Amino acid sequence: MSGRLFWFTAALLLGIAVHLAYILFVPRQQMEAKMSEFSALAGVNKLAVLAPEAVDRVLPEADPALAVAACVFDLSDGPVMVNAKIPHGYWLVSLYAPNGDSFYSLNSRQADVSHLDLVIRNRASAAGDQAVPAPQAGAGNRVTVRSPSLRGLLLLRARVPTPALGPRIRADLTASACAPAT
Amino acid sequence: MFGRIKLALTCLIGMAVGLLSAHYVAGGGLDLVARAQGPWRTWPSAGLNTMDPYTKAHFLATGRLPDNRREIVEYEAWSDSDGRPLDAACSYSVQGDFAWSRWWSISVTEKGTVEPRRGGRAYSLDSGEIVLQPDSTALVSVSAHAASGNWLAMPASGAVGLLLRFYDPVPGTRERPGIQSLPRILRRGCQ
Repeated sequence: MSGRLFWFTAALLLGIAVHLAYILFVPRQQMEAKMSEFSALAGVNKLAVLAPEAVDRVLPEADPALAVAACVFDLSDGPVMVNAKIPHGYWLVSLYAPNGDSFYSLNSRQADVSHLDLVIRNRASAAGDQAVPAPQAGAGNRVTVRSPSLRGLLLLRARVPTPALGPRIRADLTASACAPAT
Repeated sequence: MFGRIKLALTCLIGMAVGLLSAHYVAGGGLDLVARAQGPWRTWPSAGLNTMDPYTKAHFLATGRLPDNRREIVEYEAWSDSDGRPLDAACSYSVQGDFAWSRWWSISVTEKGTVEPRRGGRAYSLDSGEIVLQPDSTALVSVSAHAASGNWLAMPASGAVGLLLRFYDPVPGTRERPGIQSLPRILRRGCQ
């Protein structure tokens, strides 16, 4: 009886360990893999507009009603500036940390602009800034975001209301850029 | 010899229990991290600062990025309103009031699909493409075969699900799932 209890307890403890390992580590590993996929498509500190087929590959279940541009940013050498040309209609900017946290987002209702200058800084480099990352509305269309990590992923998505508008909206996004801030 | 077999069995059972239980809870089982409303299920902490690790695993383990619920409220359904699993061999109507966000979309998804096959706009409808009913509700026909009105195409066979996404939802609904009505999913017939 004590032998059975031993093996049962061992299986249970192993189950708990596997359960926790899966929940805690798989998302981060998947996010890292995803950032590598985006890096392969777009490079680092560069913005690329993804073809619908590429979106399907790197963002399973992504809404086909959204055109997607992506930039994997690396703040090791300083801030990164995203100059986004905003298509008419609904758009959404989302920033993700390597652990999968979505730490910032902005949409067309919150900022009804035709272009947006978004500066991404490392939170640690901002002396005394321990606050939750938040937009700092500056002059004009310039927004500064504090990233909790040196690396991350920016997605710029715009609604494509009908398939016929897809090429035009993707062309608008192509005019956007992501590069180290000078 | 028996000791080794017991050890192998213990490892196998332990790993299976750990993985299956993680999948189950992250997938919305027990309603610990997901909220069910009829056939629809949502993950209330998705993309927020308070996102729990199970919600994060639900999205990222399947290669999806969790969207901030303040921007996009997403619902999944794998069964109809009578509790029967959605099947591509059947046709369905999805009807209800969707008007609590700036715009919305509805898509068909396949369980366990690895290969991408949606380079175009098949299997998805944008609210801008929807013709509303006289009472301002929307009626979407979901079927593998062409249907009149708002037709959402499905693959020819297999288990399918529906993804309903509300973009820029009205304040108050995003953090409190359940306060808005969601469309019903009714089976119309099967082949």
